[in-house]
Amino acid sequence: MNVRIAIAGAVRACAMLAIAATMTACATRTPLLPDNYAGPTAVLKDSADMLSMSKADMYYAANINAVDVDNVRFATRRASEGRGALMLLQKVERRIPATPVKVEIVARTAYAMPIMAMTGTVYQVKGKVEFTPERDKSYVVRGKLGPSYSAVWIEEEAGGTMVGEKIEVNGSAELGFLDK
Amino acid sequence: MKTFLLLCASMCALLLGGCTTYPTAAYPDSAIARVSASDLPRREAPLKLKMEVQWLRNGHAPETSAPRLEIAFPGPDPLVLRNSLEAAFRQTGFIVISEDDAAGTVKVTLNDVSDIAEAINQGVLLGEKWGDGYVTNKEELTMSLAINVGNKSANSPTVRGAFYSVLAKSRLPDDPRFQSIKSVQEDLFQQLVIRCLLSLNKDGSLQRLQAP
Repeated sequence: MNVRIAIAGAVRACAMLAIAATMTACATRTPLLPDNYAGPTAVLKDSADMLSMSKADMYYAANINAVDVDNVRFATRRASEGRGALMLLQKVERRIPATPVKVEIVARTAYAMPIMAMTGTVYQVKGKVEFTPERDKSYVVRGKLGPSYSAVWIEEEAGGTMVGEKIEVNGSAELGFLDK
Repeated sequence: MKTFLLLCASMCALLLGGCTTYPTAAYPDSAIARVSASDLPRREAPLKLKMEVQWLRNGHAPETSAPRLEIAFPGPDPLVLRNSLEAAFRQTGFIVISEDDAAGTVKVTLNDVSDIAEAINQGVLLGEKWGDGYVTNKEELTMSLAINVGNKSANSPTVRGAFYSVLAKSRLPDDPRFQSIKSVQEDLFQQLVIRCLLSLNKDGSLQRLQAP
């Protein structure tokens, strides 16, 4: 009798854990701006350089004001799933408040398939940049990745003027196997 | 026996389906003003030059062979590109490409600045769409010339041009602007060459090259 109760309890616990684990996939991303936000906004765009049809250097915002945001890396990964070595590079932009913002920006080599990243070279440089966007202006995350120098920064789309500071790595910014 | 033949025919139809070619066409970008070779200064005999061609994609020399598993960017056939550029120079009447009795060299730098990511996305969407359809892509190029004759040299500014290419699944829409991609591309090369030479003429570089 006790054994049966113990087994039933274990099954119930497992079921609850499984439900909890499954439902985490349904968690929604916290919006950067509430739907009813009426304050001044600007636009922040991600950018990328396609190096082949399977590989790109991506420059994107990962986090704005402590809120994780969708970006070119995740959007491209979703679009490229199930397409083998073909990368479908996506264009991503988002509205940001035209008030002082703290943005975590990343420059990273991305591949169409994880196996390519494992066997290939992945450079990454990231850091936080603070700036105050001007109302209705467009900004772009730009960068450069290479064996001896890597950098990522934000600039005005129209004039190319850099805002905030430039995150730079002099020397190799290559990621180790376990960091990819 | 009939069933076997039918099966073979069905298999052939399925396999050969992959060999069908997609109809393509192109038309020039009307936003860019056309120029004419008659605007160039007259020469008794065209300047004979050797030609070097450099093909870039977004300012970088494309990798000729992508690493294992990766798909390399498609690039132009070097011989076809060379022939098209030779024809473009010949039609200006100002320069002819000659390997034998050349007075100097002309280096042509062509940079493909098209949005290839957008083209790939459009192609995939078309392939996944049910039924017939077509996609239009803007193909943009920049060109610059570096001419060396003896100890004199002239470098043209970079000029930009574009055309639109159309690819359909089975049938192209009716459009009077449509021509073959080859002819539109050759026309663009010629326009770019003339615009480069006109810029060199405007700043006096062509006259300096011709001076004894």
